[in-house]
Amino acid sequence: MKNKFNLLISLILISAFILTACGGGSGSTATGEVTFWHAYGTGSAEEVALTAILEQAKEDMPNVTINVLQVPFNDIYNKYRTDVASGGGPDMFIAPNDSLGDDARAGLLADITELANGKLGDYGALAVDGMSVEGKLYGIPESLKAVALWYNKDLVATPPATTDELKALMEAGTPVSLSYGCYHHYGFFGSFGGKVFDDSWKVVADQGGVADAMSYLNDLYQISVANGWPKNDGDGLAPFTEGNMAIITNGNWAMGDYRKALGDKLGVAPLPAGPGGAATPLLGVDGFYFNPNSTNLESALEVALYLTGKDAQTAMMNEAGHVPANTTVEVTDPLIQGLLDAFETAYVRPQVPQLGNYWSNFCGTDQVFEAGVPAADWVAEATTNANK
Amino acid sequence: MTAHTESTKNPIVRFLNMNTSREVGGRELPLWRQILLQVLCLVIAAEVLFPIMYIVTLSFSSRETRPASLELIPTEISFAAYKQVIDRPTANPITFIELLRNSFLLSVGVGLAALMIAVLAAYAFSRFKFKLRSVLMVLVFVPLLMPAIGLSTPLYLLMNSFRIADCGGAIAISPFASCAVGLGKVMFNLRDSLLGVGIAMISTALPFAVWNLKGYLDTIPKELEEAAAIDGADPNQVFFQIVLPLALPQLAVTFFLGFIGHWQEFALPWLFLTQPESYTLSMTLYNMTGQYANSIPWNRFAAMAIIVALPVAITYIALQKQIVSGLTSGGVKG
Amino acid sequence: MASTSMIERAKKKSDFRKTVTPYMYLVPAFLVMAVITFYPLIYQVVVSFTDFQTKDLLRGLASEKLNQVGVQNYVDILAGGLPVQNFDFFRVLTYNLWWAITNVALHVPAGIVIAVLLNTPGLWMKRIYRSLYILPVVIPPLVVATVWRNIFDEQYGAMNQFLTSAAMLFGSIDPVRIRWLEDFTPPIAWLLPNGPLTLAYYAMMIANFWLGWPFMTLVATGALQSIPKDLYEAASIDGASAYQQFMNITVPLLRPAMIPATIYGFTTSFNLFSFVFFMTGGGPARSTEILVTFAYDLVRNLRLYGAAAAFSVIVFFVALIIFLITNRLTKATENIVE
Repeated sequence: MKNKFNLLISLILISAFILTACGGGSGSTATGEVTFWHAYGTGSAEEVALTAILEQAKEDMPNVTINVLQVPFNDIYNKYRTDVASGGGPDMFIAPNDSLGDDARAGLLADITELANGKLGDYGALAVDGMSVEGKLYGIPESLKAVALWYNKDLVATPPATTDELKALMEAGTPVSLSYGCYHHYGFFGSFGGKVFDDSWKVVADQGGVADAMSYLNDLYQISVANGWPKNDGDGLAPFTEGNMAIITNGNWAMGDYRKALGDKLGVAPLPAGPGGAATPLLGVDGFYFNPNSTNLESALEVALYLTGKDAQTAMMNEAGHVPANTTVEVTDPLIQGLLDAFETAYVRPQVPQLGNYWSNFCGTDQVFEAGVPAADWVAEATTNANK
Repeated sequence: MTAHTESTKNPIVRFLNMNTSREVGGRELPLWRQILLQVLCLVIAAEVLFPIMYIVTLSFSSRETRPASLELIPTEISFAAYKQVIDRPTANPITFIELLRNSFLLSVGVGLAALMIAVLAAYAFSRFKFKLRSVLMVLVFVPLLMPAIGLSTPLYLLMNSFRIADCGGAIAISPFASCAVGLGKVMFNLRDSLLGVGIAMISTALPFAVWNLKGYLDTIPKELEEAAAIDGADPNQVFFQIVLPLALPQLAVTFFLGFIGHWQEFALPWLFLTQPESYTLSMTLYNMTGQYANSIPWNRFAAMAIIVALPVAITYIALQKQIVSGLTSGGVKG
Repeated sequence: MASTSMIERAKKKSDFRKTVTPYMYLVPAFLVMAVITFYPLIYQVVVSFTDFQTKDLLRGLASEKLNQVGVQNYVDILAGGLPVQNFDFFRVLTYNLWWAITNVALHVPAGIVIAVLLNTPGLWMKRIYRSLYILPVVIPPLVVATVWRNIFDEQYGAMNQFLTSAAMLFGSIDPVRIRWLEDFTPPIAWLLPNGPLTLAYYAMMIANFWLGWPFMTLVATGALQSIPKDLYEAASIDGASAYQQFMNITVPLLRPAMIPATIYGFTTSFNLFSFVFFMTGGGPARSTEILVTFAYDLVRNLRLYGAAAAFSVIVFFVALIIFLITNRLTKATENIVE
């Protein structure tokens, strides 16, 4: 009799545990209002997925009202900085870690090292590093992004694995939409063994492969111009999704749109390796950053953890093609796995102020591509200017 | 001369020389010349309509991408874009009606406020002679020379300094008082509201309205006012009971000119506002272009563009004579 | 005696009234302007002597991090010391003036010719054409600029598509792919020596031409209709050709109306933000940058508020000089006509 009674109590206790664990929402401590901004395009796969996740959040976190504002990507940083600097701003915003270092040093982001202590067990070390500046944490990582090579399996069966193969493909007339630009073609530097920075963050681009990479890119650029092929990811979106382009290089933020259009025909591969080794695209981490002016930081953190948690990230991965920073998400999609493989050799985007030297001096690529300045001279001059 | 040559020409030539001018006693317009001129006019009309037909066709398309070949006549009439724009204009939680309402409030509010203040000043400049007249006139018109974007930062800071914050119990209205600790929870920020944007927009609207109205008022003959003054009416009565009713049509034109300008203004609201409830139609239109350049949803953009352009088009076409005369007479009198 | 002092007092009262009334009418406007126009103006001038940036946005002029830099901002702008690429103040200024002048030089004659064309007695469907030709003016600038950018797009642009169709008529097979807005090399290398004009300039000229002549036609039509017809009759009786009539009657009598219109057109083109901003964003390497778009860039993207304030003050003086010149020109031509 006693045993049966004990068994009954255990069963009740166990069911209680299971019920509360499944309930989930009742355990949330987020309250009040949390405002956050994002820069996903209207109607894009990311934005649709986010809206669905927020609907679910209403049930899981009933005590908090989440206000969302979409700001176009070219304006979100400016808007955030001006608003926060003048005493306002949202509680948090999600964006790539492009200028994390500068913003953190300018005091525009809240230091959440203590607030988030112990809550980051689920996130990869690389991702958490991407959200930190000088040892302090400034954001909750959401996903990893870098440039990869996307191809249409109907038009090209195996993607070019080396830079020579890519060039030959283009010379033979296969339509390729390469994205030229200081961010997009950074990966090619590694293919030619070039490094922009040395260990002490001095610019050493003129020693080695960067000039070769630029010269190679210039050759490809001229082929693109001669054939009238798109030269940036924006122009290439329509031709690639309509099946007119065999290959496009772009970050994986566009995967949702590509997959919606091409379905199973979509394939992904790392940027081609070259004589100097594997490609090293800049690896960025998207994350939620917090406003030092916010009066509701704890709730904002809860919301951010929810939105980067396993369920939300599974949705973002499957629908928008995000490569989650959360390591508990199960990766079954071969495309995502392909991206993870491509990111192995990526170059983690540094958060030091010296990165600005790269942007200030190495982005005038039109000098080489349009004005015809020889690549080696341009790289040498840029390096000298950067080291002034 | 015609009678002399008519008998010698064959029927075709006579037909072509037929006078098509319906004006009696005026110059003749032979048919061939008429046809030539019509062809010219049609070519010009084609040039004018080319971009307009392009965007109208885009708005009736059901695809978001642009067509690969030139399409000036709609190949399909689909109202999908219009429907999408009206159902869900942006990704932000605001409906089309609310956007319309905000645009309307802002344009009408700023136009009316500027008008009422400006007409008094314009009347003073136009009718009275007083010592500081030229100095004050220059002072009013000088801000027109400074680029509007230059004034936006001080206006931003000015509006931003007026906040109502909840300091965990007490209410603090800055700039008069501020929370003891930190900034408190801001309940109302003048900068982040339509009211603040409206006040900021008046700063450029006023000088333009004064300049425009003064030009108009200068053209109203002074006899009526002088007669009233002789009859013993004081200046206020003269203004409110005689000049104002006379100037009403010109006031309306100035108001509509201002309305058109404010309806299309997106830069200042964009700089100031962060609450989607305060967004306006022109901001939404700009929002659509601001994203990755070539991922603009073209059919929706075209539909929204046409919706934003319609009130402007109707107003302008209805009042074109008055608007033009106002702009040019203001310039001459200066 | 009592009556005269009463009259004197009454007169003093009405004299006082007379002097005060104009100022009373001006008070509302100046009160409002004092707060939202003059205060920001003076604020701008003060800021222009500092290194005001994002760090100072919270406290404004009272910010502790604010540094007084004297005329450094002005020197930087005029001598190229700003931390921006491809910016040369005098090149931008010359381009801006050239842009405004060439635009007006195209629009005004075209407008007059089309107005004369429409004014031909007996022309059919005159009213329809007149209403049609006003359309470019009624469409919001944002829409116009974006549509024209699209028209000059390299792959999907209507202009290239149109040129492709035209080329096919002549037997060409390949599509025309002119890179209107991105091409670096100026088609006419020597035009505008200190800053050659890229293809984008020509593209914007075409776009602005579409926008600009209808207004000139509107003004010219109004003025044409006030020219008495007997002048033309008398001239044709005297044996004057159509061209002579045009040059000796139409043009001089149009001048009083076209001069302010030309000045208005010049000012509008000079400050034409929309086309430059949306079509080229300043052009390939700032070759199509004008003063107002650079001011916007300084404020919005670069957030160098001190430099932006100095820049606004400089632009103010440029606009003032232009205003004084055009004012002098208007008065001069008025005297000639009279």
